[in-house]
Amino acid sequence: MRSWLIRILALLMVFGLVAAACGNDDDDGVQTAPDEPAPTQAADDGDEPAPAPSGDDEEDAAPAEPSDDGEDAAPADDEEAAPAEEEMTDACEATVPGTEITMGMFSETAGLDPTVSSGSGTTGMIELMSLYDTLMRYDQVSKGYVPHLAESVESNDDLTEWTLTLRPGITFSDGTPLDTSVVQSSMERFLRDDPSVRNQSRAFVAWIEEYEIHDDLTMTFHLSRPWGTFQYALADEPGMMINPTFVEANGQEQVNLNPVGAGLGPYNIERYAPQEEIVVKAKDDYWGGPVCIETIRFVRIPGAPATYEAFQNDELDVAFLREPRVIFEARENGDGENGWTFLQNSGGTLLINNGVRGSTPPTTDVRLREAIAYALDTDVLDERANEGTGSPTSSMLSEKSLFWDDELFAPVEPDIERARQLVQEVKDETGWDGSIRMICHNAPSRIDWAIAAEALLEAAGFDVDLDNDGTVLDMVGAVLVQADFDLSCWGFNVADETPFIPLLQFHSEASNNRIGYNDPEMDAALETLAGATNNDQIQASLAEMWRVWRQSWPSVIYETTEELLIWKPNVKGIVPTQASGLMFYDAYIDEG
Amino acid sequence: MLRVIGLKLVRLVPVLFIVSAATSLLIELVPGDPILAIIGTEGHPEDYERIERELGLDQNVAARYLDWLGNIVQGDFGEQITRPGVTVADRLKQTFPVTIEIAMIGMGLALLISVPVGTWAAYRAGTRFDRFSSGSAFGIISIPSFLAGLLLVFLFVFNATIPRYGVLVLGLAWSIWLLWSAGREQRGGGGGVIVRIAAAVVVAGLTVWLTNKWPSFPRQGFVRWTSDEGRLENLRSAFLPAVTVALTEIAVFMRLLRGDVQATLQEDYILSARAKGMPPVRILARDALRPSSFSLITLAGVAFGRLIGGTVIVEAIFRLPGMGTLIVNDGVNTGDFPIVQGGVLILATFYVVLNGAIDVSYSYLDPRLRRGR
Repeated sequence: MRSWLIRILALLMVFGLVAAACGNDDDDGVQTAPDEPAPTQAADDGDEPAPAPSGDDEEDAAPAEPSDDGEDAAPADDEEAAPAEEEMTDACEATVPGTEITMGMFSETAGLDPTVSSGSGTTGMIELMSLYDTLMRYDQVSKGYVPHLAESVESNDDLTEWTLTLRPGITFSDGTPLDTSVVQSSMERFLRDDPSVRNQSRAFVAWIEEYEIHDDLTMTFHLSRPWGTFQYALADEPGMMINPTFVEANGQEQVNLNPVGAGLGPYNIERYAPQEEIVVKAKDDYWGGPVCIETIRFVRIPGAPATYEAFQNDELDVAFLREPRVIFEARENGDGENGWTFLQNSGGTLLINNGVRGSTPPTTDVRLREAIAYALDTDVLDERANEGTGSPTSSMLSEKSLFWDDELFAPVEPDIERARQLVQEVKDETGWDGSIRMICHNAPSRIDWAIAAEALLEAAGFDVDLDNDGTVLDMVGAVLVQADFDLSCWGFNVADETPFIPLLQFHSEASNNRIGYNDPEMDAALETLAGATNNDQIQASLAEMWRVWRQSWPSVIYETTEELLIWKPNVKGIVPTQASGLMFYDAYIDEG
Repeated sequence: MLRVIGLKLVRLVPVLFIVSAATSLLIELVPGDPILAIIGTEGHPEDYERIERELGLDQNVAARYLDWLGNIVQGDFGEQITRPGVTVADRLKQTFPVTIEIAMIGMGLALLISVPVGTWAAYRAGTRFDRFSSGSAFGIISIPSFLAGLLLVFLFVFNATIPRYGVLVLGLAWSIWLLWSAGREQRGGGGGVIVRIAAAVVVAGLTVWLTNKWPSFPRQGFVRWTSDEGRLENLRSAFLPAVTVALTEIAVFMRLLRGDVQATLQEDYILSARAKGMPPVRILARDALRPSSFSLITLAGVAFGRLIGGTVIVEAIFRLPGMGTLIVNDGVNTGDFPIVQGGVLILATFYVVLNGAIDVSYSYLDPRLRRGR
């Protein structure tokens, strides 16, 4: 063979290879959506579904007025934040076969039973809402509670009796009707004597002294104390109804492991594999009408950076992000436009031992607590811990909070001279040598934070003994169990929809008062907050709390924690609700 | 033979007893409290006491261990403390196959690559191939597995065009080199021109096929072998973790085998075979490899056992629901001792049985050992 022929062949081969390899690779095995919409199944002609939650029902909701300044709690995108109800109900006529979304969670739930899972959207609430629904729902648009499985909830004047009326016609998959006995049995499950009951709602379910049943659909809860936002409980795990027939047939344990048919949510459990995934499948008999997305897969990817990477790589359709740097990056990339931001006011708090369980740390002296507040420069701390991407504040509320007011919630301005003066005063008076113990945990950002805090406190005259070798659990043990700390990295997660529950720990008689704080003025402010029924009243109570806080300095706040939940632009109809929760009953995939 | 196997199984009992007792003591010494994991930061002190009492965690370590041992004898691994109702046996059934699969694919890849490369490098000791393979092995050994995993993610997940077009360029270069050498042969009047051109076409074809069919690899997660999504999906999800596991092993196996084969090639019977004109491939495959594989088999067995319990980093990087993650995250971190005990027991059993099997395999590889008995 001639060499010129080989050269031509080589040239041809090079061009051929490049053209072939760079050419269309649509047939690489990846299935793409067909041009035509997937066929939809006709709705079951059987039992007519109970009326779906609609905008009209909001009239029955407990009054919830936005604050005057109208600052929303922070939708990721003001225009598209919460989908309109009309749009949601028209999304599909039946479950669209083959539709599936995957959500990356912040952490794993301990189980599928509402009495076991620990609570907010960070740990199980989103998965559980898809299985069980709730009696009430916090509406992030109107900033108030709206009925969901319930038809209405009304209170008496002193807020100790709440009358619930259920929607008629709702049944579990096996035909068991949702009636008042189901509500009672579902709530009483939180009080059963069983080590698996771990949900913190147990504490406030215990405030229900009596369930007065009027008929199948109407009942009155008699509370041991006034509670102006009792609807919160009905929108949380206690508001998730459990089919008593299921429990009777399968036992309590199966509610936690395989609750097929146990709940009234839009989805049924398909697979629960701890550490791996929770897969739920759409019901074809959901009381609220057709459920558009057939399958939702909940997975947990350790760490916000990896979760966001998976979202960018299209392995996740919805992602829960809770780390300032990653949230900042997501927003920079425009991924925050489809999603919702939940604010946890006081999410970063330096917990101060005020003398819990008879302990006598130096911080029982209010001047030292005040000195700590003046010594900590929250911007410096944020720069060190989060490269300036967090939401530093020394106020109990974020400026983005529904209740924010510049004057009422003015932050503490750092004042190192004032801090030094206070520390010196205590040293001179008591002979205390300045030593103070601070316990934090070994997450990288907390290590950085603790080192910066140590430096700032030492600049004010403290001699800090920092312990940040242990895990979060070690720190929790030192604070909760041993009460062996002076200062500790902590957070209260005061969400706008329910400030009362997390702040209750500052009541002198609260069982979860973990710092030994005792101030009658704060107790009075908390009682007022407990009785607040609308957002103006809540704001006024919080303002009073902040006034008292700045006199007695129970602890020191250094940041608001943001939680950004993002989803792909083609995923529509997700409903954000309370406690960082999302509901998928009207979610759909926009094929367009 | 049965006697040998029986003896090894009998020896398993004290080993497992010691391992489980030591694990029980160690987990007691390591920080981590399952009750704190249960109640979390929002818990009340009285919740702690209630749950501790109700779960029987107020017993001392010896009492807890004996309780556990009594249940194990009856085949009951107990329940996970931090996940009510979830049995340890179920968790082990979920996680063990994942780890086994990753370890097996990883070991398979490692052996598939290291055996021919190591053997050929020994045969061509001192040549460019030997220097290149040895240098690569040193390079790979020096990359820790967590970094290798992240690099693979960077290349194959987020920048897939780099390896894809890398393969294209290499394929092109190889084809061109084959054509060029065909031309050289043609000019020199040598044979094999047609073979080289055919090889160039095959390489080019494979390159094009591979570049066009380049799969997308997931950043995280695992599709099970038994999943409805199919076995290809399973292999796709297992590929990057398995390669991560394999990389270090490839380099170690290759270095080890190269040295052993090189020594064997100096043996008289090999020189005799060469003198008789036997083809090199036959000498290497039939005469040199078998006696050189003792160290490799021992090391592979130990490495396989190590991988079963030690893939935690790879599992963390790729979010695999395997044994490492189970024992570390759900067990050690939270002090959930039934998980740690059950997991360690399974791993120890596997490890001991595997090493026993390796011992038994020696007698097949070396007839002298069989006869010695």
